[in-house]
Amino acid sequence: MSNLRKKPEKSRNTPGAPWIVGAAFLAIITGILIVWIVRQHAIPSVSVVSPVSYSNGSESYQPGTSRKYVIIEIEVKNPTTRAFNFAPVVQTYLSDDKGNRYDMAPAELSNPLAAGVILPGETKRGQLSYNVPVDVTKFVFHFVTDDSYNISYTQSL
Amino acid sequence: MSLKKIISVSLISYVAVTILVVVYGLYVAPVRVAQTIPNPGIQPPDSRPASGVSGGTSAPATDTKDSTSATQTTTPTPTPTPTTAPTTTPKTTPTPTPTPTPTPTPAPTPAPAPAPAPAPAPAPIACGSAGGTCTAAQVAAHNTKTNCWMIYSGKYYIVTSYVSQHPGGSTSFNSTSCGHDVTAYLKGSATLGSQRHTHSGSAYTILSSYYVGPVSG
Repeated sequence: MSNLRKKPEKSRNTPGAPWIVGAAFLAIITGILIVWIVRQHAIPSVSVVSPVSYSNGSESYQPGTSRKYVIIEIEVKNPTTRAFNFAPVVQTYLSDDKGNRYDMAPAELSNPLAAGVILPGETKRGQLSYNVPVDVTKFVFHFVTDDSYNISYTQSL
Repeated sequence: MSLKKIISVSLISYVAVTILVVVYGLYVAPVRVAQTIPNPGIQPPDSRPASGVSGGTSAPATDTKDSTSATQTTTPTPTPTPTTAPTTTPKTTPTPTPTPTPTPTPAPTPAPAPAPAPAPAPAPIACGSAGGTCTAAQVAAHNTKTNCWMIYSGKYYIVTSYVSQHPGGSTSFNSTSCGHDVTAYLKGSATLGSQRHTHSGSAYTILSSYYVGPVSG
């Protein structure tokens, strides 16, 4: 009975608790600051995410004599805090080692990537196609914006 | 608990919580935001389901060209009320000379309130750049097969590299279609020259890749 009436033991004194709570609070502030700074300085990114594939065309779309379609799958990320206008017809092209430029061309694609606004935090993934000579196998993918982002990005394929 | 232990535990919790907040803010939260915002896409004119049209990868139905159409709002400032002119007290002289009539000094003109500085508008995106707004006249300047822009449903498309690949041949791309609004033609409600035909759903999917920006006016 005497045990039942006994008051519960006072919890052990932990002198480090305020320090730990303070550190955690400070960490939250630091984290928010880091996130804010990173997102302020972030830029949209475009990258080729899968191996290049080739196509000789379909019933509707034919690349032409001694031509083929290069099909690439790209991923567009917008980690910034403002909307990003993505228009592959004016922002992307391929080039070869001789400096020839190949613009986007239509082909039958299983997952075509449309132009449009990429919202903050949004990621889009899809295919683009380019009409190139059959004998060219090495390309460089270019992504260039001339708006306020002023991005210039290349990737060898 | 020794001081050394307290400091080390605090440091560890500081680093751990910072990492957690940063990872959440940069990777988890943006993905959640992206999942909740719908992005409806371009649709064929008729209501039949378009094969190959996926809602996630399509041109925007609403053009959020806030940078070009941003309106500035100015907060009205209260007009300062003019202060009343100070009245001069007439001098009293011992002689019974007529007292001069005090001439009231004109009230000071209130200084014009400085106009509120308008908020800096974002630089408009140039016509022809991604998301840049064009007028119909600007689109009309690109009216050849080798420089062909078109308007469809209030948006313009740069289809120069598409012309030679058109399944129906490139003859329909000429000065009467390039540089013009071809909405009625694509919807099948008008003829272009002597041609009238409708397009498949995949044609609109391909068209959406050539979208550049909205047309104003």
